[in-house]
Amino acid sequence: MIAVIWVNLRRAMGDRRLLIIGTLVPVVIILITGLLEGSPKEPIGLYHPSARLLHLAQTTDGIKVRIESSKTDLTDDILRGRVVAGIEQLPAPGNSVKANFLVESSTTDAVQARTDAVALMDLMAAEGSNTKFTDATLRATPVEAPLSPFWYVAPANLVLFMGIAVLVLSAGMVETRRLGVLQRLSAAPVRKRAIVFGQMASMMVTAVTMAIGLIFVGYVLFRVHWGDPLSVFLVILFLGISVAALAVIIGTWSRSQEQAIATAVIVAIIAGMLGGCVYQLSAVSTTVKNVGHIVPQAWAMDAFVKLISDHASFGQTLPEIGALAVFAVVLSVLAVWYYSRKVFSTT
Amino acid sequence: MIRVIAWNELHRRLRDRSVLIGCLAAPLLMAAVLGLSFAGGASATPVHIGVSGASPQMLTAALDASQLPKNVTVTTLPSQQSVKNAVASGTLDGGVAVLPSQLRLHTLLIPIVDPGATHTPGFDVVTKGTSPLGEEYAESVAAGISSVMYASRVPHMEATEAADPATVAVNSEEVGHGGKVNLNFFAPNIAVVFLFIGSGLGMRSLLMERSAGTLARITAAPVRPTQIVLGKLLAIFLTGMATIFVIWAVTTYGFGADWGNLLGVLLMAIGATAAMCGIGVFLTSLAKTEQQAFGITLLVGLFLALVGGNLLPSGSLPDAFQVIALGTPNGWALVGFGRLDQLGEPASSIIGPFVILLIIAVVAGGLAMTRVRRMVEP
Repeated sequence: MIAVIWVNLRRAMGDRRLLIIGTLVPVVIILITGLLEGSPKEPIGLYHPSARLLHLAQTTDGIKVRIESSKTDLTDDILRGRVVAGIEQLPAPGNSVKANFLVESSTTDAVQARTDAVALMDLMAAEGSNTKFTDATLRATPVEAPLSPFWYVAPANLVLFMGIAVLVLSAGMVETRRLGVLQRLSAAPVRKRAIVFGQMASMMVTAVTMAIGLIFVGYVLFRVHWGDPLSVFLVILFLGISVAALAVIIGTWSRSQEQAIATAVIVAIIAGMLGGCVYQLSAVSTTVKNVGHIVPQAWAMDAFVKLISDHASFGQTLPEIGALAVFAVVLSVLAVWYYSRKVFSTT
Repeated sequence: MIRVIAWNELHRRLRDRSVLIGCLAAPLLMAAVLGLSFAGGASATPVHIGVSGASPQMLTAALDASQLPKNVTVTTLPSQQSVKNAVASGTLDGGVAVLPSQLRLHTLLIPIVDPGATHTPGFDVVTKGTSPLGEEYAESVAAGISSVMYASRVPHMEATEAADPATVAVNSEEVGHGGKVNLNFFAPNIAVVFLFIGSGLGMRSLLMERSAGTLARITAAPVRPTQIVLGKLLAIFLTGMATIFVIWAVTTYGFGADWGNLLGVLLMAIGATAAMCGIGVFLTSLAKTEQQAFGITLLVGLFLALVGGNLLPSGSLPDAFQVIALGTPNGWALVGFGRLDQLGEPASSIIGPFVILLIIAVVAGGLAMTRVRRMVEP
């Protein structure tokens, strides 16, 4: 088993594609998507705002506004995605506030915009005509620094590219089979599961090394605080085992390296989509969100969100870690069984 | 002869699993995942929020101030711990525990001006990262409670303000395609990403033929190199059109996506396919081996998709990036398809992007032809 691990690791380290997919590509993608996601929130379009609403919106951290000259322009900007939503302030008696809130769909960003805008309107209604009191109080109000803008894209891309990188390693198994190495191994006094676990272990080492590198980069460059170290390690470990087992299955099934790579990339991307690595699962229906949990990536993302956003402890992430452990066991058993049937079959 | 070569290439590709996976199965699966994810939209999802520490009168006033939509329900709970337990167990999507003893005047404004603050004295806004909507609505309820409390502490300038407090009324209005906006946006964009991957796979097959020696045998036949190249490119183009057609059909008839005016969609499909295939073939023709070709396909395809804005929600790119995106065929495909599916414009609105994509196709395709002809010339 050690020999199998060593040979596979040497092949993986010599594969420039893997090094690029496993290191450079995720870092660049985290940087670009983080900069885009973390750039000032999409503005809210304001049509006909009162001076007070405009003042509060422009002086509140985290709100960006764009003044629209007409409702048509506002609607157009919403459809083009230039503004996340629009507020059309309407005439109201006294200090009351009345407005139309225009939106294309109730995404999290749109709901956030609504929350921010309604909160400011509540403040206007509460202060009445005593705006000086509010301005003075605001000056004494502490405002906290937000989470790193990369807090979601960093783990999302780590999980996605860990999947892609490890699954692509399945091509190595095809090469090993093509060269006849697997057949010669089967003639040796080596157990089938030792061969499979050897293959998986080399993929695991690659996965964990890559993940540790990305975690380090995420912490140093992107200021992402990953949370409880034990939880993070177990999530990566079990996710790595699950993906490595899947890579063995793909490598056993494929007839050529190109088939293996094509299948691996597609499976990794689709699993990533279902798991919330490509878009947040809050954007989809509950049913799809639940169905998406048939892939280990979804549980890994749940764990990272809890750790980074909710500052969860090890105990609080046990359900996700437990689910990932189950995936690891089931997929490993499946990999050994399928490999035995395919490689040792006499048909 | 071009048709024969193209037909032979198509036939060979159909027998090749990696092409079936990359050009048919993968787009089909992606379209299905996109459709299932976005067909219904997230707007109707019920959201449950819990509140503790607020009197019934204060809660009523706060909910009035928060102007919550109909799909959000608010429940009263007896204690801060019960709110935390309910959110942790998944019974609630978010919660607010009011702690009056910790409230100070200036801290009342934190839920209003800094809703996502991790430390909000006087309020324990209980959220879970897996429910961003629950988080937003919990923050909204906290802001509503906060504004009610603030109103009672503001010294009123006029007597009527205390007797007849001001109110907030927000009416929601939906524009465009509503819940289907994400499906309508991502469906053509994912198709464009796969066009590049498909063209790379096609070019890779030429490299495989060269290394296997079959290319030399073809060139020994009475066939001009140009005919071989055009035949191969035609096969790649047809495969690309099949990819985009599969995604269009599945998302439209399976999940109710609306790609916009049919003629416009057809023109954009032709333009995008030609441009992506031209660039894909040219870039992979720079490769020396099929492994390099595949690597180039994947990396350049991903890069173009990212810079071109295919993988981010509509309008996410800052203005500067939107200009940069126009340096890629993906960016122009995004503009064209966006005018059709996001703005509902007629086919005439995409003439500009279509022409630019054709220019890219001609230039890139011409460069590709030159390089590939050198490969096949004896």
